[in-house]
Amino acid sequence: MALLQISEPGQSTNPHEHRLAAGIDLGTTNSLVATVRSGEARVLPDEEGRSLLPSVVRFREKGDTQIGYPALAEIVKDPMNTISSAKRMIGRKTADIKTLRDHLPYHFDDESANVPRIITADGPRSAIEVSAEILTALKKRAEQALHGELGGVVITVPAYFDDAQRQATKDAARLAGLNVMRLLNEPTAAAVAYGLDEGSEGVYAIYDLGGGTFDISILRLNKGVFEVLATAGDSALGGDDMDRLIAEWILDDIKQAELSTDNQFLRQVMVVARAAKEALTDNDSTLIKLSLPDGTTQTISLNRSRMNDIIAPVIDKTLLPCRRSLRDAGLDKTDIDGIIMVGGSTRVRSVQEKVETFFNRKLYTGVDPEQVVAIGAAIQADILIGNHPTGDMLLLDVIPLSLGIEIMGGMVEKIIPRNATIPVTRAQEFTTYKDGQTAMSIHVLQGERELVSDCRSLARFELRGIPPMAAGSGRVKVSFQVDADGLLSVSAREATTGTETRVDVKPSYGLTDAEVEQMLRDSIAHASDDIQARQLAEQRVEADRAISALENALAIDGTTHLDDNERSALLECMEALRKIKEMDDPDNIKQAINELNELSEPFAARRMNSSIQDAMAGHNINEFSE
Amino acid sequence: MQTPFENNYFDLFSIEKSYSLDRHLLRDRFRELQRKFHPDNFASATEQDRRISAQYAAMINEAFTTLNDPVQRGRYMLSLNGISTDEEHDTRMDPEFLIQQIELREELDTARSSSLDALNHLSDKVENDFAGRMARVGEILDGTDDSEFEKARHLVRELQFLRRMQNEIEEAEESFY
Repeated sequence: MALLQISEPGQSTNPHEHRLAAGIDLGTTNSLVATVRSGEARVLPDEEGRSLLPSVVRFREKGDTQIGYPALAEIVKDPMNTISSAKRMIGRKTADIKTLRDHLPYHFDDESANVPRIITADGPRSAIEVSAEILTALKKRAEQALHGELGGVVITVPAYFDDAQRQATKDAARLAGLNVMRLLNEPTAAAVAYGLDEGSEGVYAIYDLGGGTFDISILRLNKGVFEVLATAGDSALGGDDMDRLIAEWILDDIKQAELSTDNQFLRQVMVVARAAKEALTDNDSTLIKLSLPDGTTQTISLNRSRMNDIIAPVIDKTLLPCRRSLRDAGLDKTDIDGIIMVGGSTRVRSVQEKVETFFNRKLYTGVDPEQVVAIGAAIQADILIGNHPTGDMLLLDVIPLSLGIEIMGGMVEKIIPRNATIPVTRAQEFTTYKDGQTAMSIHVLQGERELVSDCRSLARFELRGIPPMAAGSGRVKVSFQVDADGLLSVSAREATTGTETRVDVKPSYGLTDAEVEQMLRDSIAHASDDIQARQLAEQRVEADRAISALENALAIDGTTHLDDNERSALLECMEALRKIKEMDDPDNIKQAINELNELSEPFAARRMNSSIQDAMAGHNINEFSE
Repeated sequence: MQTPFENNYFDLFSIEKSYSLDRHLLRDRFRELQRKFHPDNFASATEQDRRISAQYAAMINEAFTTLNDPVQRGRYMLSLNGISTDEEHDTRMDPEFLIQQIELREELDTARSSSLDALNHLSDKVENDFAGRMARVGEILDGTDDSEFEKARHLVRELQFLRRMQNEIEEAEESFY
């Protein structure tokens, strides 16, 4: 791909080469992998023809790990080492999952750790590592089915995931050795699967109720552009909560309160509760059979209308985000053309009934609600990897929660509002408040509330080296950048001296880069890997790309946008990179690439500017829309 | 890196510089530009290209958001004329407007504890007021009399107040569900 060769989006370096890409739906309860083959997106089944991979991992001694169905089969017998619903814990601190933990059988290590780890027979494991095991299994499944290595993947996340949860998901992918081209919001992925199938235009609500997360997105589809107008949700609400309510009802009904501390029995109750919920999709009533620890069995009956009453609080809780998303989109229920139903939990009859009543609009349930997200992700992955001659589709997504920084009095000043279209860059200036103040500490937060204590703390960093000045004279400009994955980076600059501090928002939660590196080294999958060799190979690929991109750009308009001096300087720098590339030091290659990039930056900017002008050149300013 | 058109978003979208712009046309042009410059078009490009495209895509988003919103569009057009609507520099407001705001706030408190209908009624009232002032801003900014700009500056700030009030009413409405 040439340096900003804008006319041919998504084109791969070799137009005839078909690169392997996949879409992965990393779910709370089940995960899936899908790919586009012969123009059609399909979920890839396992050797036994099953498309779902239960998101369950059982850790046994000496690394004999079970993933998916085999792990699920042992969940009642070995509840302490068998981890399910890791997605509800990913990217969360120990304190955040406290309420959740009351329902979990696991033992956690260090209470104060940023990343909670569950103690298993194979040592402590974080939700990131559990997710990495699931991703590794899906990667293996895809590579076996496609007979080759995956060039890149799109992984879906709940639209309502915050920065910490997104970053943690990306870390899990890194541990699994996947190249993540994009984190895609689940409702948007579902809309892609529907939109391309039906060629629909209009405004749609995507109601996505999974095992442990709820999202609602309002999206406008126009000529292949999927524009998310607003999103809302709850990243800890889903079918799991329905199961828990049913389980509580069962415990209550059998009057075995003293058993509520027996982990094995509790697991069993959760399993039968879920089975009962599923049975009541097609049947009016179902029998629940339980084996009690004393060896006796007990059978109780549950009918659908009773269950509807039991789970009603979960469904009702989804309606408030529905209202909020409409309000944020500036729309009324009557503006919505249809509701796309996504996620296994939307199979529950009363969910469908309540949503239909709320919106008073047609529900779309044509594509399997459990597969639709993976299918949408596969379509996006196929485009991003460059298998499409033209970009016939574009996704414009939003950030789900506002971003801001702490100001005086424990208050949060918002810098980027929720539902801003990404990528987005915003800056705000703050002044020193004391005479002679030489440092300013910056606390980055995410959330809608006004008080720091009610928002999610993302990072803290300090800007030092501000020259001593009178209070109010020192000015610090804080810039927020959110990329197309919804991931934030923050930089701060002191205006008079230009002292700059840059952070990729990460440190105050989750894994540090060093920890991820260490895990990569430790993991069995990479034990045979020579990290140095891999880095060298990676840098050489990047160097080749940079050189060929620049050569192409120079050939196209090197004379239009550069004078002779600039051009020869660029050529010289490029030759230097060519030589360094042949040597064996990845760090040197990286540095040479950076030097070339820096030198070619003005050229790239000029090309970009003129291409924007070209893009709009066909238009007269007095034109009117159709 | 300095991106172009930071000084004139209307030129970026190649639309006429006007407060009462054609929002459909604006949205069409916005989509047209993002189709070319969004980072998804550069997913397999060099790291530098990906970074530059993200910067431009962010700028295009910013320009669209600014022109699409009546309050931000007003602020922006005033700033093109060298007039700042920054609250930090000047906090004076028309006393009559302030009194009206206090009354609205009292009405909100009463409505909050009475009914959804009362809130809806208040919401309509604020919306009408907003529309009226917005039309006035348009007349001034699209007119030829520069001396009226100071009036527009006040109106834009009043729109901001009404916007906040509207948000509070909507939040109060949520508590009824």
